[in-house]
Amino acid sequence: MELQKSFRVVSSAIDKLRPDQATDFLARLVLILANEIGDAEKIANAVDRALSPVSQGEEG
Amino acid sequence: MQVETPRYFEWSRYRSAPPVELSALEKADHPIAIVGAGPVGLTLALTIAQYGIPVVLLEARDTLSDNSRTLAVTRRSVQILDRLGIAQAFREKAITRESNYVYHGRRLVSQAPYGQDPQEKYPDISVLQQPWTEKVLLDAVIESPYIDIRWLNAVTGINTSDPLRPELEVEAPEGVYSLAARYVIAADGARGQVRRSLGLKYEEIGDGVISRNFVICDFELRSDLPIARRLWICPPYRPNSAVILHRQPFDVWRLDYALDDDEDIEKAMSPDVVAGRVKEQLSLLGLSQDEFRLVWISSYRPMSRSLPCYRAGNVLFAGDAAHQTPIFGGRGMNQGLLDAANLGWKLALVLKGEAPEKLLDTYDAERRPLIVQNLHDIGLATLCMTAPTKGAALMRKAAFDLLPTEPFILPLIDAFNASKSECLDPAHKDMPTHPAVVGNPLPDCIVQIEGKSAFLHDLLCPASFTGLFFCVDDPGASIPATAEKTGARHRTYTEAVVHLRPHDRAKIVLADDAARARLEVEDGDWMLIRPDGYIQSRITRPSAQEIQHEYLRAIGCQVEIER
Repeated sequence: MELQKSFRVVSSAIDKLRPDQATDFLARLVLILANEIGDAEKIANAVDRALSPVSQGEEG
Repeated sequence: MQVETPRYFEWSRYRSAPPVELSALEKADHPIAIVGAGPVGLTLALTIAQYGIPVVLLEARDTLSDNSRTLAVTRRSVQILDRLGIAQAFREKAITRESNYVYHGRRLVSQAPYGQDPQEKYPDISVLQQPWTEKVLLDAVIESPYIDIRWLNAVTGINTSDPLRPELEVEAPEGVYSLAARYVIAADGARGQVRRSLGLKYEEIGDGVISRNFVICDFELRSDLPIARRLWICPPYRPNSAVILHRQPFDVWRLDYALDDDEDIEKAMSPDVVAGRVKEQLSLLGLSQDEFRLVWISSYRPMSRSLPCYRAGNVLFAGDAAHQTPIFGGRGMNQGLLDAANLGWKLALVLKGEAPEKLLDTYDAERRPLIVQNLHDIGLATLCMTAPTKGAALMRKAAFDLLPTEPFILPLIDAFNASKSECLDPAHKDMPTHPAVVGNPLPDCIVQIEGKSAFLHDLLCPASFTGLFFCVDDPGASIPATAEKTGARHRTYTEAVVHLRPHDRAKIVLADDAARARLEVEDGDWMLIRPDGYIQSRITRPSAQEIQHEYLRAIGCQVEIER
């Protein structure tokens, strides 16, 4: 249930922010998590996976 | 507000005698011509002159650099000056950077001392305006009987139709002449005539780095503030930006900041606008805003470029003529001095007939990969600060916002101490600074020489390889005679015996366990140190034949031995 808890806590945080604050918040969160993970290859892989729906959307 | 004349240095105008080429019936036969008497050309000329080889040094100007330029001089650079016998003169003028302060808004978020390692003879960073550094070098050049420095002698072209004897076209006040030399060294900067005449182009390295303009200004102001580098993130007068303030010697300060994409550079560089910035910054420090003098305003756009090869036949390139490195983190002039130290001894040994010509190929093979790695590293390390894209700008804002509460952000923002590997051995390049492994510069440490405190680097002979033999007891006859080790025709090898503990007959002793641990040496260890301070070889209890082999390998004779 860890992923579910994470989903809830992040979405709750975004709900409290104005739309123009959400992007900045997510960028800060990424930096903190990247530091926690401490593995640039894992982050690069995650970035690719997160970009995948965008790429597929453009192809479609 | 006006930009006034600086008071920290008095620029002289230099003159030189008419070139001999304009009066001689026969062409002079020069072993070496160096184009450019900046810090790299001066250092290279001195290095080669130490071996008793004549050098012609051609300089288009008649004076030294006209502004402060490179301020931060690394320990390695001062060690190079030490080998030239001028480190003391340099240090008498320089100040030692003591601390690095990082602020967010008005709040101090980090205060870290610079490395003041007691085992090192010189500090991590010395600070001195470049004209002073050049003056220290020039004083030694003027003293040298081997260096013919020619002011107002501008190189206008180069003819390489005889590849073994490149010929420079030179314009002097007394007339135009050509000067042939066995080797021409281009140390004439990024817009140098030698490179352009040969049609050689730089390659962009890294992510194309940094399409951003920076403004840089010097101002004079008396203050008792600590000698530090100060980085402001999001200063109150300019949110979401960064400003660096450097303390220089002689009550001079430098302010350095990036412009936003939409800022007009002409307007940003006007004295009134710059003075406004200085006042805002002084206000943050609680200093008087009315007593400073602006003495220099300039701009720069960091470059990340390198020639694809630093040798073109008998023409070799050094410093900015070979590569343009962003100035962040003390990389510009300092990398050029490392070029000069690497190239100087090789040229000297080849010209003396002690080393084969192919030794010169190792200059490019050793220096260019390090420069390229440095360019990649600095491009990555400064991406956050320069934020050249919308993605980087978003992530930079995130980093700035986190700085006050998240210490891990600091290295992302402050790239000064980003990796600057100097290791020649790729297998060891990611090791920490000090390990005394082959390919690294020799770490320094404290030794006792006949009871007096000194440093290991004091044992390194100028213009020579040095064999360091570490032992517990008197090595006696176990050290073969030098002539036997290196062969009669090789004379640039000297040796010192360093004892690991005090001994009746021990002249030189490592001071303590810290020194021994730093070098990781045991009884019987031998190190071969190159003239530029690199550890060439390490062997425990080497035979005379092994010592000879390692020395000859170091000067490019490996194939001859194997035959």
